[in-house]
Amino acid sequence: MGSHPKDVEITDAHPKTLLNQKHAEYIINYSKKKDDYEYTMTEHFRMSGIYWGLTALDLLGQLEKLNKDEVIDFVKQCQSSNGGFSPSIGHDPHLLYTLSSIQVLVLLKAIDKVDTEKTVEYISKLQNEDGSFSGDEWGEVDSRFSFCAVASLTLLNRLDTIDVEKAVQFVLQCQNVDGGFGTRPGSESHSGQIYCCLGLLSITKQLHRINSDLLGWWLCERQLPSGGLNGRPEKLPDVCYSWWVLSSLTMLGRLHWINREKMVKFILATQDPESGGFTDRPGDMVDLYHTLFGLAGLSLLGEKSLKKINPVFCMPQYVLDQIGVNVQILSI
Amino acid sequence: MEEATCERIIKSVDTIIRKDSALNEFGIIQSASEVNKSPVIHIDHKLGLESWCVKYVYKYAYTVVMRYSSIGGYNYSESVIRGTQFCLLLKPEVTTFWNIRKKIILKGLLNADVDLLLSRLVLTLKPKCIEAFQHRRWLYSAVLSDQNSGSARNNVILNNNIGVPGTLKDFLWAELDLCTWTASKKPNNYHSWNHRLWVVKKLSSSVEDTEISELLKVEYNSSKTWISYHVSEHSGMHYRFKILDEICCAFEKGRLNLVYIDSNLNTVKEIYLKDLKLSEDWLQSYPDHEALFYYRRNILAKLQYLFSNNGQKASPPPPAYKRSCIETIDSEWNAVIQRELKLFEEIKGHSDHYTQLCRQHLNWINNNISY
Repeated sequence: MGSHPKDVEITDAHPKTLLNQKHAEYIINYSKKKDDYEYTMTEHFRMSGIYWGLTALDLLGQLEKLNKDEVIDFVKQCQSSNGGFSPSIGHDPHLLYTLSSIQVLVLLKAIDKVDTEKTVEYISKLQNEDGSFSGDEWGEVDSRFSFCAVASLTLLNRLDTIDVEKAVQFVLQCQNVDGGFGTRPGSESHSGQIYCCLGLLSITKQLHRINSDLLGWWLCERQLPSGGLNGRPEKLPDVCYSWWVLSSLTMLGRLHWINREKMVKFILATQDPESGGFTDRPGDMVDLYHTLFGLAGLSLLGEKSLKKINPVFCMPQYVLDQIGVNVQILSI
Repeated sequence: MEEATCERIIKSVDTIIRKDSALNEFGIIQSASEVNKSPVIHIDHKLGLESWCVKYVYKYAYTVVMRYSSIGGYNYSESVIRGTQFCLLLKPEVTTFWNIRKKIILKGLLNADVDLLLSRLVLTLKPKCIEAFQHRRWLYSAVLSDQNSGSARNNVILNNNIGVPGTLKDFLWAELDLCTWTASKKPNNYHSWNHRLWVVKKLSSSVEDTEISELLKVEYNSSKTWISYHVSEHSGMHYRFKILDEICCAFEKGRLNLVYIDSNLNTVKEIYLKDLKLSEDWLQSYPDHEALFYYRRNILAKLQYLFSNNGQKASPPPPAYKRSCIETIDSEWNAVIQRELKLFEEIKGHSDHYTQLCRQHLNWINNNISY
């Protein structure tokens, strides 16, 4: 492939090996840094931040380096009286942070520390007549929220509390002519939404209801000459899409449709060798979000020094094995 | 910085927002250090905040709002209204603060107009902000169009965009202009185009047949112009594809006459055939754009569906058509395919990138199109 107008260049100056220890240190130090202003500015997604950090640390085999009790205590304080979880103390509950909280608690084997009955009730009440889910009491609908609801209830082993077929029907309506999925029926296809919709279909074992070849092609065309993946046509590559796209291709049994070697090279180049952590593109600023998705992508691609990741829940596979949760993976 | 100073800055911002309903831009003005004058700038309906004060005042306002939150239940004092407003201008991603304002609006203690202006100002600084679009959708659904929401509704004068009072329909029409603006500020602005689709849905379900014809004609023409100036933006092309679907739906329901949209259109197939030709013209001029290839694929997939379901309704369009078997070879469809296979001999692109895009396109045809 020749030059591409919307790609990045990877040079010899970029890292070529996985800097495991650097990343572990970055995450541990991040959790200790409670600078006033920064802390305030990130509080509205703190629970997801904790999930990203803990999952990444576990993939690196260093989960024990964080104070679990402190985390569990924080999650407990974020449970609202209606059963849902908020991103931080004093904030409003939402399905996005309810899933993050449940993931954190399951990872730390502490799900019994909260009132899960109330959580189940909170989630199931958010299902709408057409099968979709609102993210919270204010009614915004998004296929991401459908995934959050179904994934959360599966981790709690209570998927029976919602109308699963209707939830599936709604997600299928979000599919476009190009094979991809968007936020709502009629919305443009987007790799992040595709991951959520496929994830829901995988959990509910309904992946056979879509055109996997068509979607698989759309997904593998996201790979650019640098090896990186973008989320939509003519967008720049971003390491978080190495997760959304790779996990989707894995569910469809078509991970081998992308160039593995180039993909690994791209992800490794997004590491910051000084601070540790991953960025969206080589040379940018690191954050927890890209650090998890960089590591998770490498794990999917078979990186031996990391624990195996589950493509649907984005949690270490051993955790899901322990609670007996399985997902549908197509094969061709 | 002293609390009194923070309070003064927050109040100053609030006063400007309340007094100048024609405010059309908010921004942060980079400044090196603290100077002995107000950091709040108000010139020509534009509101600016000097960067040196942001960190202190945000932290102060945030703490004030969270204090109310922690004691449970808000007493909805003016300081909560001002505090959330200040924080949201700088950090509109904090959903909880929009929620606090929703509760205050529902109690009739805050005019929805203020939040139409606030969310609009937020979009001038962050044109992709999903929370601002969400809040506008909520304001429409829960307040503006809700006959039962009492005082909150009655107080709204809907001076949403141009400072002129109007009806719900005027609000939606003006919302299209806002979407044009946000789309022009950020390429491939997913949330802006998504919001525009929502507006079109709301408008089509709430207006007379004559107005739906007008709406779809305007969108049919403006999306064409938009694409010709934004040939790398798939979001705009996806939107046009959905407008074509809307036109089909309205036509099949007998709500519009196709010739009103375009004097050469008589059938649903012709809508898509015309865009197939249009896409060819675009590709001739801009052969290196992947988004244009994707648009073409969508049109081809739709045409294949229409030709394989002769006489059937075009709507609602099924998701991701499975490869259809066209049993009787339609001569018109055959012509489309023959043209497609020869097209790239005629379009001269010279880059390796173009060669790659052509290869992908032909591969897609082989996998998905019957011929």
